[in-house]
Amino acid sequence: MKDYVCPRCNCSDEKYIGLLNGKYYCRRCISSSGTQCDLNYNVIEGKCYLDYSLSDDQMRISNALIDNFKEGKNAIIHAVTGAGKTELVFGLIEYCLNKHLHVGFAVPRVDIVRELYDRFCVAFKDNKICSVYGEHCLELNGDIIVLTTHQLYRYEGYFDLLILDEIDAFPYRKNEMLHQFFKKSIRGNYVLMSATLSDNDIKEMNDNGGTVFKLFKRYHGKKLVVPKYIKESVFPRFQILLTLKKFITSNKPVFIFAPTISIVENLGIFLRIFFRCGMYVSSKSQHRKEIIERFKQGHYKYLVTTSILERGVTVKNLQVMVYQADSDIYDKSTLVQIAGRVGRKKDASGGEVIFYGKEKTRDISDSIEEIQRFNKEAGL
Amino acid sequence: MKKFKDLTKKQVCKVCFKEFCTSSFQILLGNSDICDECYDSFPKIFETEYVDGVKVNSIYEYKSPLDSLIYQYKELLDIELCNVFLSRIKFYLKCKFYNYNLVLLPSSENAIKKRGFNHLYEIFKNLDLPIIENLLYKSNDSTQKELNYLSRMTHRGFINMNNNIDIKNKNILLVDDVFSTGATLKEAIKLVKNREPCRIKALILCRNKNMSKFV
Repeated sequence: MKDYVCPRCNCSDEKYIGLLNGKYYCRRCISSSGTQCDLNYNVIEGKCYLDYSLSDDQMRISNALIDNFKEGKNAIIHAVTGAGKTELVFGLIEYCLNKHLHVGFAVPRVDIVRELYDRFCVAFKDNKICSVYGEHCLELNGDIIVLTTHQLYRYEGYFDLLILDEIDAFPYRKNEMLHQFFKKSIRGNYVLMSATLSDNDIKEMNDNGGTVFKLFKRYHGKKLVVPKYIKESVFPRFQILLTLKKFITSNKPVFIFAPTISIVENLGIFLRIFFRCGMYVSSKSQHRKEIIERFKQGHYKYLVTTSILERGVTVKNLQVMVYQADSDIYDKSTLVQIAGRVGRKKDASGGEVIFYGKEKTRDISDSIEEIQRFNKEAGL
Repeated sequence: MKKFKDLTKKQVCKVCFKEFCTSSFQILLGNSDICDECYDSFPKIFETEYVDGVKVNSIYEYKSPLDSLIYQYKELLDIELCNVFLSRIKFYLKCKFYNYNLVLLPSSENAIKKRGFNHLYEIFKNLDLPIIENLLYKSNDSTQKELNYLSRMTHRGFINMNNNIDIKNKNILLVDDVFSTGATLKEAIKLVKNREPCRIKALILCRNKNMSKFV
């Protein structure tokens, strides 16, 4: 019988195990093979250049993180969407660079890697930033590595500081192989981050002697936008259409989320009949990078999208509608993240988030309650 | 009764690891290692072309997801994928080439040793057709995949034939996994023609239509 356990990804499930010439091998992590990084890479010292200042809360946590790291402890940050999570760790990264330590920033999704790469290049302009993801993995070495969790297998025992953002996002969530890659890539300490953490995540960190940091206030000090639930009418597409018209005439960009790629395409095509100034996008879209760019530049006034845009994106004055918000795919975390796209800029801290559904599911009510709770805890 | 129960048991797809049920029609054709969704994503072309007068049948186009699957199979040594490539069509191919003998196009000695298995044999054994083993072999340790178009076309005499095996008046089906420039196939055809078989045809798993890498 198979007592085989994969040394790389800790897999022992029979369905993943293959047999070649009498030897067992793991099929789950077999495609995660490739060049490894340079373990002896020399990190250059660096400075963090920010042309804006952090809020008091952000400064407090930033400094506390450095002290925490000095004590050799891990950390988990529970910060709401738009709190400025990324900026919280800039101070710690600068500290590590000046000690010539290996620094990494990992996220589950490729689109976020690309956005972060741009931000790091500006904030740490004296240093070499390296972005690593599926289609872009020829260069693996740099002072700061920004990568998808899938690429962590290339950095075994490399990172003195590894920051993992959006720990509850797909595909990292519930993927044991990626969890193993994560563990194996760390030589020093790690910092976990998310706006939507489970009690289990926090308990685990406490049990392991780590520290929990909370930030429920957005950096601009204004409250989180609380979503509205509106019952789906007999003609739900026209409901969306009318609300879309309202946003377009007041010159506000819009995201319309839909559960699946085919629904996104159908809804997108329908809406484009009336308003040609928009587009639909999904993981299937070949030009999604360009479409998102054009939306940010204002060329497209609205985007119909799947969950690929539920995290990490910041667009000024954005409004959000969720079509078929009662679908199973929309759990509490996803809805909280989606609602978090709105009101992220200082001069546009308001906005509307509308959940359309035949019924008000548990997840819809829970997500609204959680956002209200965050606001209350932040004293807003 | 027990065997029937085994056949109708839920299977796990070798590509996506999801569970799926085989339809009773498929049970008739033999167990498939791949679910419908994954199989639908294969770029099937079923095209024919002629190389030096020999009819060459291509099953798939060499692009996603087959390019990475073949890489995983050949280079990362995932032998469990061997039955995936001819899934759903082996009965059709077996009928089409029922009176043919398979001749596998050769890999270099090094490659076979490193791999630990003959990748073409594992794929095409699914056809249950007679295979003429070791008819063709590589004369030196060269591998095609490192050469560009010009080098491949001028790189002659790199395949040898075992003259002790008689193929006169037999129907020969040359098989290979990827057809890019056809250099290997041309060499093989030349050698086989000299031995006066009855018929020669070729069966290629993936036709590489993206020639930009080779010019």
